[in-house]
Amino acid sequence: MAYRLNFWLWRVRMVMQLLVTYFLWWAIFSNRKELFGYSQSMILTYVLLSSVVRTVVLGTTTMEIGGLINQGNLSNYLIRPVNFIRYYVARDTADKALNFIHSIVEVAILFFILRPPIFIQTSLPIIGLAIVVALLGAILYFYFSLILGFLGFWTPDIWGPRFLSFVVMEFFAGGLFPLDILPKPLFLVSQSLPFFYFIYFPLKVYLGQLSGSVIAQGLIVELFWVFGLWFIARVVWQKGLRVYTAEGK
Amino acid sequence: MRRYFRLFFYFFRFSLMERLEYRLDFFLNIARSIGWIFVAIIGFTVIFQNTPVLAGWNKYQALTLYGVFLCINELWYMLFFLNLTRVPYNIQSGQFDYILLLPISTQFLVSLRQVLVFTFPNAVLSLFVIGHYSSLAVEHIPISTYIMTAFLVLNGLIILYSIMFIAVTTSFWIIRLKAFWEFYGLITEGARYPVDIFKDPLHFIFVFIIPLALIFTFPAQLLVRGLSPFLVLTSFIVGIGIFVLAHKFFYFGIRHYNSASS
Repeated sequence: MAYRLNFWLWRVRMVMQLLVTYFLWWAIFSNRKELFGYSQSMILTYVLLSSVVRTVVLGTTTMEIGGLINQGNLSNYLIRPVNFIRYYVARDTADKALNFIHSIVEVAILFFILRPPIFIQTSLPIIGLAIVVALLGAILYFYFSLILGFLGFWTPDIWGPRFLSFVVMEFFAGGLFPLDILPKPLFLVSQSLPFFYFIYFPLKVYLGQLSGSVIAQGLIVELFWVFGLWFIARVVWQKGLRVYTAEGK
Repeated sequence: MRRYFRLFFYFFRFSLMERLEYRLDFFLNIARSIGWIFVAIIGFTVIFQNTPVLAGWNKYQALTLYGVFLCINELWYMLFFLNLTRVPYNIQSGQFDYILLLPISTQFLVSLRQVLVFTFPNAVLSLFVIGHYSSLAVEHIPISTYIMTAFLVLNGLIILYSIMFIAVTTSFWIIRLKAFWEFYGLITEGARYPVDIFKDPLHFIFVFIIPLALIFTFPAQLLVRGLSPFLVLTSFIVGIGIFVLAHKFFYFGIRHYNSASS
């Protein structure tokens, strides 16, 4: 909290982002009851909750890892008696918890100001499942971001791949709109990517629009992605350490 | 004036040489920009799939506005982003002393010292977006309208720069102003869409507090929907006014600068 102004600016920006998306969908739904198979309340719930899921799943401190490697500052961490990846797990958990609290408060304030018609899921098992798939999404993104950071072992061009991933992710994670309103071929592409499980899948589970078998199938694929990326991250880390020369130190 | 153009040319050349060390980043950034354009086109296509007109704007008009947003955004990143981000650091560390000592306009130096050259192709790309979608939105656009739009885009860039320059000048008083790009993100968040689609209080904010309409919407509106001469004139008056204000505020800030480290 040493940089309070910066922190609050970031949070105000998040609220602004949410308001822009909210009013955009409000305008699209003016004079309509249903569009793309979604009622107005369903889509506004999706928009509001996507901001909460986004902060939990996509909030990460691992973006700095590429820079740490490039500038040789990774050495400061390697000499400590702490596992580097676990250290970032702890940092990310704390960061996500803080973001989650803020985003819940912000969405609650906006809810009381805007009074939007929203959908409230009453089934506890479905809420529980939505939380589980969102948490798995957070783990998935953690390893994905970790791998991007580890590219710093081989190249100084660490931001290009990350910025490019932001584009693909922003679109295929379902943060802009639910993925099933996309043309069918694009929706099928999105289903084959790990980003599908970041925002869209947890929210679809919450909205109760998926059958039990589809949820089970999605959960299995999501677990497959988590283990796959965990394995790749470990291999890349070990191989990266072998070529690490603490350049710059 | 010629001296400043020559200096800017040197800055551009040095920045290009520096950035070409990171060739992969250079090309990936172009790919990123093309990616964003595709995302926007698909996004707008989805939105306008069942809604032919949104607050009076059709798909091609909205995509022209997106092109204007892209153009101003990329020019902002190319010319000013890196430089203004460094101002708080320079003030905090005392390195601002060296800038003050140079026999050249301090505002010019802190604003244009480094050029983020890899966004240049993206700015060119945005011109194609504007040209393509404006020609689909309106059958025949006179050259004079294109020229006036170019001036309004430039005016929008100056307004945006001035707002950010005023924000960064506050670092003479507020230390630790690091999340500069958060502030930029905050004020441009709604810039991709016509301001008319937002209800109050957001509409009020985007028209009167953060003049998004003047910066982004007006140039596109002039091109594809027409803009009254009064609003064109207002836009230029605001542009000149806010630039002068930013300039005066910066030199007022300098008078309060007391070298941090030396």
